[in-house]
Amino acid sequence: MRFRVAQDQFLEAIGRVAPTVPTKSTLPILSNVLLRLEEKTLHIAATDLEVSVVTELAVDGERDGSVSVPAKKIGDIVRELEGLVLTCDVDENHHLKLETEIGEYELLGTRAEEFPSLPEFDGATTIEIEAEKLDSMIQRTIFAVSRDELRPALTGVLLQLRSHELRAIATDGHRLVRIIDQEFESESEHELIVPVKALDLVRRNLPEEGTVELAIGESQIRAKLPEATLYSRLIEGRYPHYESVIPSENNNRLIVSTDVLVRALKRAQIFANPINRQVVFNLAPDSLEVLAEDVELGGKGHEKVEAKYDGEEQGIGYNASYLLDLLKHVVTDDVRFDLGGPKQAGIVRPTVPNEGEDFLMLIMPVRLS
Amino acid sequence: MMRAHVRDRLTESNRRALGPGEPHRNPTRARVIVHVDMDAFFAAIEERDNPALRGKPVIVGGPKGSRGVVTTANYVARGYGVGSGMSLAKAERLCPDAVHISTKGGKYTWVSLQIMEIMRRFSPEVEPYSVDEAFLDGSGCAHLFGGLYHYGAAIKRAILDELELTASVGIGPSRVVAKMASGMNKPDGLTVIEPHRVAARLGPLPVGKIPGVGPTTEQALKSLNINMIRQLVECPRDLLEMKLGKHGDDLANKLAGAEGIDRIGLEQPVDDKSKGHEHTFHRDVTSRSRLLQQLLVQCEMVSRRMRRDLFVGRRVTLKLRTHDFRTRSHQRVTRDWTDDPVELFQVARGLLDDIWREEERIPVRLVGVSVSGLIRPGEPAGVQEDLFLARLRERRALLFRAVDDLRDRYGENIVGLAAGYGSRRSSTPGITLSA
Repeated sequence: MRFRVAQDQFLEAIGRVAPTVPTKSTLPILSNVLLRLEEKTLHIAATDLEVSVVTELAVDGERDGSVSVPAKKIGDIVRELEGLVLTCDVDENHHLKLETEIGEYELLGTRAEEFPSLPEFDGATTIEIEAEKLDSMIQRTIFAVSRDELRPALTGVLLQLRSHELRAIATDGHRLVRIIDQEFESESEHELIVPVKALDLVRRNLPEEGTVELAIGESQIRAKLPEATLYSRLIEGRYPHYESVIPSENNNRLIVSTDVLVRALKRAQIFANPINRQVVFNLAPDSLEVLAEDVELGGKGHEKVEAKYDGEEQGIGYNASYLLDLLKHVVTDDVRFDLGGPKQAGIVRPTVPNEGEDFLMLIMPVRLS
Repeated sequence: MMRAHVRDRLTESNRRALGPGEPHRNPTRARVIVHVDMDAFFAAIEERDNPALRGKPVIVGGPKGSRGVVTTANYVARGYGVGSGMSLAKAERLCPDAVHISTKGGKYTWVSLQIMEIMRRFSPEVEPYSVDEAFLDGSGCAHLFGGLYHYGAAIKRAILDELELTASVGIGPSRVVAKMASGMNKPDGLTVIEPHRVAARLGPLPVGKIPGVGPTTEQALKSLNINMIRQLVECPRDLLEMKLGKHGDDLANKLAGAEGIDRIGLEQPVDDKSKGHEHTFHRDVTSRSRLLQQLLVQCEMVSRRMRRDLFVGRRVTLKLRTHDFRTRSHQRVTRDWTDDPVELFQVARGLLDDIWREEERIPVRLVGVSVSGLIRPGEPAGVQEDLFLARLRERRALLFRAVDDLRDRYGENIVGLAAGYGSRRSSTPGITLSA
C-alpha cells in the first residue's frame, strides 16, 4: 500500500475516527485504526466493538492495500508533521513508513485481517433528521444518561419514533429529560436505546446545516454523516416506564430568573457538602431562600432570591450540580419549577417552550433530615 | 444478639461500678445449647402415618426406579448400607425389598413447624437450622427442669408424646459441641457434654468430625500435625491463625466450650457497626457462577440479620480467600442506604469481578460479605432520592418481611431467592422466589 496525502487532511480524517478508540480495552487490536486504500480513496476505520466509525479521504494512491496501525501513534506523529506532504508506504511486514522531506518514521502495524470486521448492517428503515435539531436533542439528553452499569438500559438515550412525534428520553434515576418533537413524522414506529458514546460521536461529526440520514436496524443504528459513517449497537433491555414517574399533580409553582438562580446556586454550592452537593430551597409564598451548609466540614451560606412562588411553605433539598446541569438547557430568561413535596420529583422547564416541542426535565430531591 | 449484648454491657458496667480490683461477682456461666436432630425424619413421618411400613426398610426419595438420590432412609434400610445422598439405583441394588416413597415437602414442613412450636415451650430462643434440626438456648431454663439430662429428656418426651417421632438430643456449652453430642447416640439418643467434660469427650475424635471442618481445613491442620480435637485445643492460637487465618481462630473459639468459655451462643454478640457472613466451600471453587450463587445466599443472610436488628447500611465488603490462604477484601458503597439483598448482591458481584477473574482459575476457598457503617432506617439524610427505586424497594421490603416471617417459623432454607438455590444447606426443596 502506498499513497500521498496532505498532512492537514490526513490528521482531520484520523481525528474523525479516533474518539471511537477505547481508552482501555482487553483486546489490544482495538487501539488500532484500520487503513485501506482502494485506488484514490483511503478508508479509515476505528471501533470499540460497540460503536464503529468509518471515514473516507481522497488521496493520491499508488498501490492498493491495507494495514492496521496504533491510533495514538499515527495521530501523534501526523499532528507533528505540520504543513508537510506525507507519503505512506506499507511493506509486506506491515510496517508503515511515513516519508517526508524532513525525515522518515516507521510504525509497526498489524495485518488488516486481524482488525475486527465492520458490522453487516441489518437496517431497513431510514429517517431524515435536521442536523440542528438532532444536535440540540443530543446535547439536552446525554448529560442525564446513567453511568451505572448495573442499569444498562439507562446508559443510553431512548428514542421513540412515532407517526407524529419523536421522543428522546434520558435518565439516571436522579434526573430525567423528556423531549417530544411534535413536528416529526415517521411511517413506521420504533423504539431504540442508543449508547451515549454513539450519540456523542454523531454530534462531533454533524454538519452545521442540512439533514442527516439515520437507518434503524434490529440491533444497530447507522448514521450517515457528511464525512463519516457511524454504526452502533443498540442497547438491549427494557427501558423503565418513564411516564409513570412524571408527576401530574405538582401544584407548587416557582418561577425565577434563570440567570439569577444559576449565580445563587454557584455561590451556594461552594458551601455544600462535596459529596452530595446538597443545597436547600426554602420556599414560602413569593419567597425563595437558597442555602447550603456542610455539617461535616463546616461553613455555610444562604441568600434570598427574587422569585414568584405559589404553593405550600416547604424546604426541599437538591444536588446543586444536578440543578446547574438542568439549568444549562433552559434558554428562556425565566425557569419554571412545578414542585411536589420534599421527597417527590420536581418538574423543571423553560417558561416558553420551543415551537413544536414539549420539553421537560425532572429532578429528584436529596433527602433532608 | 440483643440479650448477649445487654449482658455484656451489664457486666461491663458492673465492673466499672465495682471499681478496679473488686472481684467479679457475676462470672460468666457456661451456656446451655441444645441441638435437636430428628431421627430419619422423612422416613419416620411416613412410618408413623402408615403403620404397615414399620419394620420394613423405607427409602424416601423418588419413585422406585427413578433417577435421583435418597433423601432419607429409615434405620432398617440403613442396616443394608443405604444412606442419604446415595443414588436411588444404588440403594435399590443394596436393598431390593425397600419401600420407596416420593418426598412430600409440604407435609414434612408442617411437622417441622410443630416441632419448633414444641421447642419454643422449652426456651424462648429457638433457632431452626434446617427442616429437621434446630438449636435452642436453654441457659436460663434447664435448671427449672432439674438439670441438663432432665431438660433434654423432657424435650424428647414432648416430641414423642405429641408427634410420635424420636429425636436425638445433644447438649453442650456451644452449638458445635451440642451438634457433635447429638450425633453420638443416634437414634433416640440423649448426650450431655458438660463444659468440663468437653476435652475428654471430644478430644479423642478426629478434627474432621467438627462441623464446618472440611477436607481442606483438615489437610491444613494435618500439616500442623493436628489430627485429633485434643491437639487442636492444645495448639497455640497464633500458630493456628498463622496457618489458617481467622478461620483457625474461629475454630478454636468454637471449641472454646472445652475450656468452659462460651464464645458462641445462639445469638452471637456482634459489632452493631457491621453485619457479615462468611462461607468456606467444601471444595475450592473456580466457577464464577458458583461463587455468585453463594454470594447471593450470603447477601440474603446478611440482609436478613440487618432487617431483624433494624439496620440499613451502605458499605459492602467482599472478602475472598484463595486456596493458598491469601485473603483479599474490597469495599464499595451502594447507591443508597439499604437492607435489600438484591442491592447488596449487585455491589458484591461488582466487587468479585474487581478482584477475581474466572479465566485465571484461581481456586477460592472462602467468600464473605459484610455491610458496615450501619445506621437505623429513617435516619439517613443527604441521600439522593431515585425516580425508579422508591416503588421497587417498597415492594421488595414487603416481600422480604414475608420471607423473614417464613424463615422464623420454618427455618432458613424454607424460602430463598431462586438464583441461590443449590447453595443452601438443606437439600430439601423449599420455596424459591424470583425477586
